[in-house]
Amino acid sequence: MHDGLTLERRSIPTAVVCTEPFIPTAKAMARVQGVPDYPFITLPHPLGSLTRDEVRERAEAALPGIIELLLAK
Amino acid sequence: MAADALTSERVDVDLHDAIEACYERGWTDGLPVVPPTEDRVAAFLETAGNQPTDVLGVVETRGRVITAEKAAINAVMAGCLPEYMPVINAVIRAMTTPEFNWHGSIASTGGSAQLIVVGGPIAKELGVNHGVNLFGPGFRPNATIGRAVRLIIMNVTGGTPGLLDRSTFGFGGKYSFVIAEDEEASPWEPLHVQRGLDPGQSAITVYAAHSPTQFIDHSSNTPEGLIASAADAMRPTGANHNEFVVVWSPEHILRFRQAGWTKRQAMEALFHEARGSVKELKARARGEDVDLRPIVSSPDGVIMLVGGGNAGGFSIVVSPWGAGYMSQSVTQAVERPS
Repeated sequence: MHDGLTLERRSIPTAVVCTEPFIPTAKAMARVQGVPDYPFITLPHPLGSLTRDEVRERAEAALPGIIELLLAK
Repeated sequence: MAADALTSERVDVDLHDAIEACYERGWTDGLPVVPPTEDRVAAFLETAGNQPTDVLGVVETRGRVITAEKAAINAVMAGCLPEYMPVINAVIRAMTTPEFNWHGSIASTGGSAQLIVVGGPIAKELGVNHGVNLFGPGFRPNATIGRAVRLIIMNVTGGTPGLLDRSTFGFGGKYSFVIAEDEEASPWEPLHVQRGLDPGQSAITVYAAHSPTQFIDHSSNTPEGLIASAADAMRPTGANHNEFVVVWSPEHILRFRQAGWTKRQAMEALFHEARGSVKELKARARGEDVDLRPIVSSPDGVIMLVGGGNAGGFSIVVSPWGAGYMSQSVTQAVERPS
């Protein structure tokens, strides 16, 4: 979240992706950075132990939302 | 300094309800806190030689500035004495250096606590415990200095569990994790002197630590045997850490003194002895030759301390958060008002 907001401040469109258990933490970071309503994409947890195919599946499912965030003004 | 120089929000409650008022506002670590009254906070600032607006450190990632006033409020709440303030201020200065990595070490699922080693004359003056029940309860400076730091983390920089503290487990050291070195039992220079400060200079070292692991060795009567036991205790924590703390008990350190070992010799010996890794397990599973990696990346990363009760053939190893690369221990001189 911190990285995403830092990039946005440099006018680089960014989509933040985090896994579900980290939603409160992402929101807390957005709040301390002064952008409490900054939208982001969430994925099921965990990622570290997934196979390559499972990662691809998650990425494909998340893609439309990511594109939408990147193109949103 | 007059209490009216303080800028923090005032909460008007009966003293009787004040402890509960602190709970309701989420200002505690779960234990009751001492209500931070204006006079008490002003007295702490006075003893520290600070103005309320003095900046002790900045946590840029969290957009937070830690002022002397906020530090003093949390030190009062933690149950400190005013004379502990210079130590707390030094810890905050050390923790807000880039190499310590305040945000990462506190937010991480790895769940580190700040192991604070107080060295030099102030350790004795304040009565920081270096002996029996070293990591346990019973000693006000040990119990409250670290607690003040924890309350600053939570109340000033949002390090609330589940929000900007995502520790999977955490451990008791997150309430307070403060020790002094047993400078009399130790044949070696204390850590802050090893790191270039004067023996007469008071200092703290802060290390982002996982929970300590106590290992037993009642049979070794040589440094070599004890080094092997310490290495065994370090092995399950993974390999290639940048730093690693070892606390030798008086009973164990005696063997190093008797054998005439220097600290450097012991650091080198442990660096060479402590080897093993996930890589080793993988190599074994594949039936390959075992390729051992050092558990600590260099002898310089072996941080040796001496403390604990004067009976018991135990010592302690403390693995680092972030493998000791994402956070590095920082030694900071304690500045006292003249």
